Amino acid sequence: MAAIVEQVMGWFPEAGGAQAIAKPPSLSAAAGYDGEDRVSALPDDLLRNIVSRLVLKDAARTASLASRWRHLWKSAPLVLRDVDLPRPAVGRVLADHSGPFRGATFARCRFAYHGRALADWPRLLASKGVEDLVLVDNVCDPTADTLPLPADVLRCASLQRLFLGFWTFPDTAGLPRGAGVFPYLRELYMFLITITDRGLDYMLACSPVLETLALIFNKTPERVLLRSKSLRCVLLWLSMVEGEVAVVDAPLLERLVLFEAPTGGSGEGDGVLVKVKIACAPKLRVLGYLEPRIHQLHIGDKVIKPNTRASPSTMVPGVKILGLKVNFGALEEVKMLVSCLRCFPNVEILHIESAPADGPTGRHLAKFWREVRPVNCIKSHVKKVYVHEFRGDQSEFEFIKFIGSNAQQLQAALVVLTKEKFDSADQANELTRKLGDHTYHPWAGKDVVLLVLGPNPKDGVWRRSFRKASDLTVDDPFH
Amino acid sequence: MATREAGKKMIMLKSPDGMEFEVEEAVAMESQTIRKMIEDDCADTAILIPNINSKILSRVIEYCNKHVPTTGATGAAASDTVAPAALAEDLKIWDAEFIKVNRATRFDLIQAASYLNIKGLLDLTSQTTIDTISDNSLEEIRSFLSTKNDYLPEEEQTIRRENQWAFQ
Repeated sequence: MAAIVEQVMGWFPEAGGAQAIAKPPSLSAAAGYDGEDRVSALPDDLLRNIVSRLVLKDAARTASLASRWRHLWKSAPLVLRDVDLPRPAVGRVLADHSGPFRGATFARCRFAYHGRALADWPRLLASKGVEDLVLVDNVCDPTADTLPLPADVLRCASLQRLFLGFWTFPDTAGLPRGAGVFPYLRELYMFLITITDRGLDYMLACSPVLETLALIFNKTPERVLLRSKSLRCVLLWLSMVEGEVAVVDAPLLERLVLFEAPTGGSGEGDGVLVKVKIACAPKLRVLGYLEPRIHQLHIGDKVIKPNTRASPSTMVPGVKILGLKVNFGALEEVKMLVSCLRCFPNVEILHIESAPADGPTGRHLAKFWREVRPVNCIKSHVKKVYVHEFRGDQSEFEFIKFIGSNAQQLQAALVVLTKEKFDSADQANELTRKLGDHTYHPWAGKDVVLLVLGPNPKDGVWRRSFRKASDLTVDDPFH
Repeated sequence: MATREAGKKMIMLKSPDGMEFEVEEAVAMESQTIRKMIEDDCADTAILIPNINSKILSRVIEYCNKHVPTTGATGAAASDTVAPAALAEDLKIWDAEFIKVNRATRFDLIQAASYLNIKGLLDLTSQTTIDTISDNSLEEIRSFLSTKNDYLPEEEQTIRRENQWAFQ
């Protein structure tokens, strides 16, 4: 678990931005010594500005330089990180410093052992205008119940970025509501947070400029209902949602990313599907990965089924980049794949991850792909197709063949082999040869680039880049 | 307000020692302070920059000239053919050369950057001081900054005790 925490924390830049990097001192510059104390002659604001660029420890040491410096650090906007100082000093700094803090990171403390700290620190932070807060309880047993998040954190109006880890979200019944609660909050990350539907609603309703919401390893809330006038990017990262993920009303939402989940907690194959609903998302451009075996797609009030006839009311025309994960050997899933594709008529970049078959399917579905009615996005818009986790099953080839014979705008097909296939030179060569074979290469003669690629060297879930997924300047987060 | 070839707006900056500098408006507006004056229409003829002598002001203008965004009609080197990363690297090297000045000049530049509100220049000029404070002993810092320790010994003890954690 420690490794997971480290990995997840690694996705985030330090609260408060980069620290001043200590370089080897260039004291030889003292050659220009002129005996005049020019630094101390600088106005307070300027000295404070300089002190604020120091790490906290160095900043506090400047108090000892001379009386002119004594109190400067206590009002310089600094960054507080619990790893940098002994725990009793944390409380002391929080009490002594007048604020504001550019950032504060608590990732090392076990709050269960420090009841008083838990009561005091969030209250002090909230009163001192912290902008960028990382508050992670360094729990011993990640499976045990998490402590209640101190409600004072929810009174911290200065927050612009909030990362919470290992807490139970408090009851919001008695808390102030409305756009004035978090007027500046732009990014919210919840890592292993127990939260109710109402808790999430509360955060969305109270954060009028929130752009990014990420749920990481979350098992709750049961239903993620997105109602926000400001959200642009929503990520569910290995987060299990039992009920539904619904874009109820998110006029600015550009990106909905579901990585490695949400899987229904009750497991696969028992017919309980997680609903992914898209009601109002006019700006939605990037969506994925949808997985027919665990998701049930709803557009507007229509459920998309294998035999759903496409109509304007079942289409989301804005989506340009779509990710889907299917088992190509399972007829039902392949039918759903086609049905889903019909809902997104303007997709230009298509990512398909080939899911391993549960058992021997032996069905190649050649007939299905031959007879399927034209799919609009494939026929007229798709420029790039990625097939991830390609193993070389006949059913995967059938799909590639379908793309090759139908996608008239196709510029590139990128086939990403599984690690096993890629590691074996013989098998990789064989698959490359077969993909290049005209039988499976109906676009021969057209101007299409076919590339066979190796997988991301990172293992399992870490191969997905969380940063890329949440960085809206990156065009294609699945690439 | 003077106008020169290619319709570039020019601004006159005047230092307290009587020197005048004609600079492109876009260059002068690298300074948020001057930008505000221009936007508030307080810059009809010339802008007097108090407290910054001509020697320092000319260096500040040199910095702004280099750092003004190269897009648009500023006349600086076209950036179209240069990758942004290469451009940034070039600026970094230029900055490193620019800041090779004696301490007195550097502190003058810090003050000028602060008054004129030029963030990049303030960052650059403050960095040496920051490097000095990081990871050096108090004595070394005092010596470098020419700061006299004016605490009584017992006072210094008290303050050090208050922040003992910072010395561990």
